[in-house]
Parts: sequence; C-alpha cells; structure tokens
Amino acid sequence: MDRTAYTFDTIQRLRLVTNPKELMTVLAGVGEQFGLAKACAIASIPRANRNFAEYCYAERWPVGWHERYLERRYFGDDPVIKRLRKTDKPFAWHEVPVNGETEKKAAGIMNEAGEFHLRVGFNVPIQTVKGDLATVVFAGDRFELAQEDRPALLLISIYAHDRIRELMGVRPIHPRQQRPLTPREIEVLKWTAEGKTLQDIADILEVSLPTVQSHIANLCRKLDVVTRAQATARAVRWGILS
Amino acid sequence: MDVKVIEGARPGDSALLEQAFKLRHTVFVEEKKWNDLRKPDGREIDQFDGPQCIYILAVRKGTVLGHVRMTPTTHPHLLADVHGCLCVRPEPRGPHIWEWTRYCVRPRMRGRRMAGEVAAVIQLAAMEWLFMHGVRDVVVEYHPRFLERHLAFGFQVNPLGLPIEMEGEPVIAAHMRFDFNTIYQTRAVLGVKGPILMRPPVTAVS
Repeated sequence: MDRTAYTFDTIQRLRLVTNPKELMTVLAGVGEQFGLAKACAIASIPRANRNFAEYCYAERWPVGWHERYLERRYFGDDPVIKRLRKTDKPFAWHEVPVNGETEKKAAGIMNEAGEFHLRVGFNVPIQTVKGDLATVVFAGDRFELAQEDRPALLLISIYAHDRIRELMGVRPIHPRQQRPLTPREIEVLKWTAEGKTLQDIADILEVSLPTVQSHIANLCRKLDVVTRAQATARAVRWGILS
Repeated sequence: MDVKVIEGARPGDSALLEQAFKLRHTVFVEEKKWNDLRKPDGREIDQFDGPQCIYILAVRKGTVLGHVRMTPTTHPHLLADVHGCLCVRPEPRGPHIWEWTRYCVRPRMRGRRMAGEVAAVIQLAAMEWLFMHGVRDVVVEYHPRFLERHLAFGFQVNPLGLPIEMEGEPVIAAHMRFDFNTIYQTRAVLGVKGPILMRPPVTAVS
C-alpha cells in the first residue's frame, strides 16, 4: 500500500461524507486497513469527570462496550484517558504502562476491553484551538501497526475530527462572538433544563414539534454544543440560566 | 496593540525588524533549540530574508510581541529550497502563492485557549494583507497540530506529504487556500471584532 496516496485519498473521502454515519464508515475502513478493525470512535475529552457520554461525537464499539463503559464510569480510571491528558503524540495502548498491583481498576478496564476483542488500540490526541482535548481511537485484537503508519493515522484523525465537528455543527466560536439567545430560545432551554421532553415543550408553548426542534438546534449552535444537556450546562456556566 | 507591516526592507533597515530578528532567535534558537539557526549576534536571519519579504509585526509600546514572515514563492523560500523532502505532491509555486514562516509570539504573550491575542492579530493581519493583494494560497511547514487550527479557521488545507520527524518534532508541509469567508470565520474563532488592515465595509446610505 502506498501510505501517502491512501492518506490523501482518505482525506478526500472524509471531505465528501455528508453525515456522521458515513464518516464513521470511512473511519472503520481506515481501521481495517491498519489492522485495527474492531472499533473506532471520535470523542472530546472533558477536563474533569463530567458526563463523558455527552462528549462523544461518534463511536463504533462492539455491542455493549460503550454502554458498560459509561454505566460503570470507567472514564475516571481509564489509563488511556489519563495518558491523553499528558501527551500530544499518538500512542498505542500497550505503550501505557499499567501496574496490575497498584492500579487494579485501570488493569481491570483493560482486561474487560480485551473480553470485547479490544485487546490493542491506538489513540491520536487532538488539541483544539479552544484549548480542549479530543481524540480519535482505533482498536482491534492484534497490533500490526508499523511505526511508519503512525503519521498517516495522525493526519487522517485530524481531518476526521474536524469533519465530524463540522457535520455536527460544533465548530469553535469565540465566546465574545456568540450571538445572544432569543427570548424564545431561553424559554425552550428553561423547560429543557426542567427535564421536559420536546413534545412537552411543544405542548406548553403551543407550537409544533419541529418548531421546538429548530429552536433547540439554533440554541445548541449558538452555545457551541451538541446535546441538550450540554446546552443547559453551558447556559448555566455562561449565566444565561440561573 | 498595533500591527506594523514591513515591506521592502533589508536587514538593518528597520529598528522594529531588528527586534523581530531577535525575537526569532529567542523563540527558535533559545526556546525551541533549533541550533542550526544560532547566530553570534542573536539575530536570526537566513538566506530568505530580504526586501521581497513582507513582515507582519505585532507591536506594543515599541516592543515587538509577535512576527510572521511572508515570502512570495516566486523567490527562493524554505519549502522549495530546504524542505522539499516534505513534499510528495509538487510544491505549489507562483505569483499568487506565498509562504508563511517563522511565526512566533513572545513567550509571555501566548494564551492556552484561543491562541492568545497577539497570535490572533498576526494570523488575521497576515491573511488580510495577502487577501488585499489578491493572494488566496499559502504554503506552510509546521507541527501537524496547527492543521487543526487552520481547519477550524475554515482554510482548505491540503497536505503536501505525510508528517516527517525533524529535530524530534513532526513537521508537515501544507498548501492552504482561503477566501473572504475564511477571514470572517477566523475572526469568529479568535474573537477579533473587525478588520485589522482592511477598511471596515462601507454602509450604503440612501
């Protein structure tokens, strides 16, 4: 395989995808190409142990793994996550030393991952212009990645991360450039914060469901977030909701 | 903070430019340890500096806080003359393609988030100057982490090869294209309110 040609070609294919699902199909193909065929994911890494589920852009884990990971709150003890915070160089999971005696939780997570055929993996850390951390990860059951393959995966990962950000409408915007929320959007956000469903809100405000959905989409874009829960959290932090 | 654009100057012509050469020495030699660039007089000047270059300087109270050098690719420049090994694709070259090199910000003026004000002003002034002179294409050689940044700004970034390890750091060469929307998007990402070198748009009055 001509690595450079393959990488350029993949970058071009990433440009042409029109939704996150298509993007993940391309990314899974990349994993297969490099022998890491069992899983891939793109996620933003929260600073503290916030709800990691909301920071995941897209994932293709084996059935049950992602759910278990979230449910058992592995995020806080995952040695791969810890390494991501320390380095800007791509790394393989087996390069993260885990002491089975002193780091029982970390070792347990890696063992369980193995049961899901996630025996080896490769992470590309991405430092965003906003100062946030994100990662693209590939996993499989046998490590065959050559040293020379790493720059190719680095490059592909940077483009995949940028593209998913664009597709999901979370391109970074400086807080000073935010457009203010309209009163209606704030109202929708308030009801969201109280746990109302979209249909509830539509009934309360006596508008149609698509209208509420469009308010949500707009306010999420203005707040630079993906999910409603993130929108609520950010609105509180920015003093829009009290 | 002011932006100074130095045009047509040779080393020695301009006191501000001399400061910029010293800043380059501080950042690239003393901080980044690119020892090949070390100069006894502490001014980092190479064979590509000259009157054909445009220097964008961020200046506050007479002190140069940041610098980028812009070289027309019709003249000798780093990518074609030194870093050709980074290119698998042919090096883009022509009167409408310029190279950005020696981008640097005084150490204390850097920001972790949003790249900091000095970096933002230099980035945008460089884009505006080129845009006003009809240039939409730049070539760069830098750490791959800057790809993320320019993608976020809205550049169309085409790598010219895979990243290669140089002096312990990965370096990638890229051809980047931008347009007027990119300038707007870059302002939005970096929190810069309006034009720096360009004139504000004229509002039509009836």
